[in-house]
Amino acid sequence: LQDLIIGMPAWAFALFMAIVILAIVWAIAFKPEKPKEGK
Amino acid sequence: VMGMSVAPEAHMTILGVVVAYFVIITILGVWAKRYVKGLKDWVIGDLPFPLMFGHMVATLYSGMALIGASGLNYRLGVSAFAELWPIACLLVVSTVFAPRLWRYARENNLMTLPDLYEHYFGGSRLMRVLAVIIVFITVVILLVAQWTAIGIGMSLILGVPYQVSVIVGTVIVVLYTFAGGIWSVAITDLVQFICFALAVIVIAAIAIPAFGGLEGILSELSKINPKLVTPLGERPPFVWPYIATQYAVLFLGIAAHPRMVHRVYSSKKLEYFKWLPLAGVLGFGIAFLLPKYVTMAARVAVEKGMMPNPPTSDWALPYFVYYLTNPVIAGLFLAALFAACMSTADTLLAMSAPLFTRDIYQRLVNPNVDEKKLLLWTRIFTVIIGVIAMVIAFSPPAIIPWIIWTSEGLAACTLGVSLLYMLYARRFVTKAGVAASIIAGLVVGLSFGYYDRFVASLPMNPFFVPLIVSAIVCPIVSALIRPKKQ
Repeated sequence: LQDLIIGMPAWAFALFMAIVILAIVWAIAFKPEKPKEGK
Repeated sequence: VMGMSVAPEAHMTILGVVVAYFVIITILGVWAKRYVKGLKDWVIGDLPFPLMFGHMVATLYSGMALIGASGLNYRLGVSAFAELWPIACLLVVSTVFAPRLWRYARENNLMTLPDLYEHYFGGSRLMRVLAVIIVFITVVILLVAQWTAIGIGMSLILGVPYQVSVIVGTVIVVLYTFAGGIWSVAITDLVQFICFALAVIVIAAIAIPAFGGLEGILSELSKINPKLVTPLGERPPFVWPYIATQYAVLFLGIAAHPRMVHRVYSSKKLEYFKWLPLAGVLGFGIAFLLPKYVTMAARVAVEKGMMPNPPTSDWALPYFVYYLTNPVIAGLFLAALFAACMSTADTLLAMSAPLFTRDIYQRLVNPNVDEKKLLLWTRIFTVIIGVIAMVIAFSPPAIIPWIIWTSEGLAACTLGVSLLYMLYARRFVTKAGVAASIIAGLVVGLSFGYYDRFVASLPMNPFFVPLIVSAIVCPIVSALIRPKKQ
């Protein structure tokens, strides 16, 4: 991971981490509703 | 490290691995026929999570785009890390579009994108026709581009004649798509993704230390050209107005691209979208980021005369792998790469055929057609479209690169905008508004795209203004033309 940070510009790394954090937040927060019976 | 030319035995090993891979994937694809009982299984499946994941990732990024993205780091250095949008897009798809789209599709028994537009506006044939036109532009024509990519890749790297490569690619893809439709497509996608990811991890783990680690690579790059290690580039696409508009356009363009909408439909459960962004970051992040480091090493390798200069930056990664890694790993990587091109082709093919049978024939001409007959005809159309695209790809028209590059932009300013309104602002949109917005997006999008490519390049993503136009037209026309009674 240390190596990945060296290679990437800081702002790109920040963006990458933001995506990771949002993905984790979504996985925790998302409560799927059951669909109504389709025909 | 072998030097400038690959030994004949190594070349044969690579070729052998590629051929073996193709045989296995064809058998696996045809075997998947067992999951297909009716048209709906063929078109959208009902895919379990691992298949959804592999399929979503393959849909997100074609083989050509994958090597093109890493090639940008070869050409422009670290500023090309700005291109993280495929990972971000998976997040947008799973959070903004998928949950509502999936529920709507399931509750109303939808199979295709034109189904959605027709159903949403109370059985509107006009909206179906409009959607069919957009799908045709963004999907069917793109198929030719994939055939071309397979042909160029196999002839350039493996020395197989171009037309033979195109024929081989077509036969494999048509064969297994014919048999298992989306099931075959998804299973081969998953296998391809696993092979690609494994090969890339091994290649990066060997290549990066061999060039003195990342610090070594970066210091070598800065000797070649100091701009290769500056965080923001000096020309498009990695200057900030470009990056910002690019993200806006691609978020909508990829999320609402017909192939992505179909992928959302094909999920077996809504719960899958909970984990998809995280799986995307972990899995796809590796397969997408690591090649970027490898191509920066490739730049150093070329500078030191260890491998030949690739014809364009797109080929930096395949060249590096072919010339400088173990033949078995190289074979696995190249096979997975060609398979990635094929996996975009098969997805497009599996969507193109129902466009003619389900969307046009069943819905607009003969609603009482027998379901079994329809499935048979969908399969036959797979062969017809595949072969037509193959023949066009023998001598690809010069317009093809433009089409590839336009497809997502046009999807953003037609389907992207209208889907967002339809899913989130139902009471504010009418049929007239959405139709006007799609037509405006298409016309303005084609004009801006043409201008940017053939007249003078614009200082931002050319589809950003068309996207805004389309987004303004929709509510205004909807407010002006209200149906008498909802």
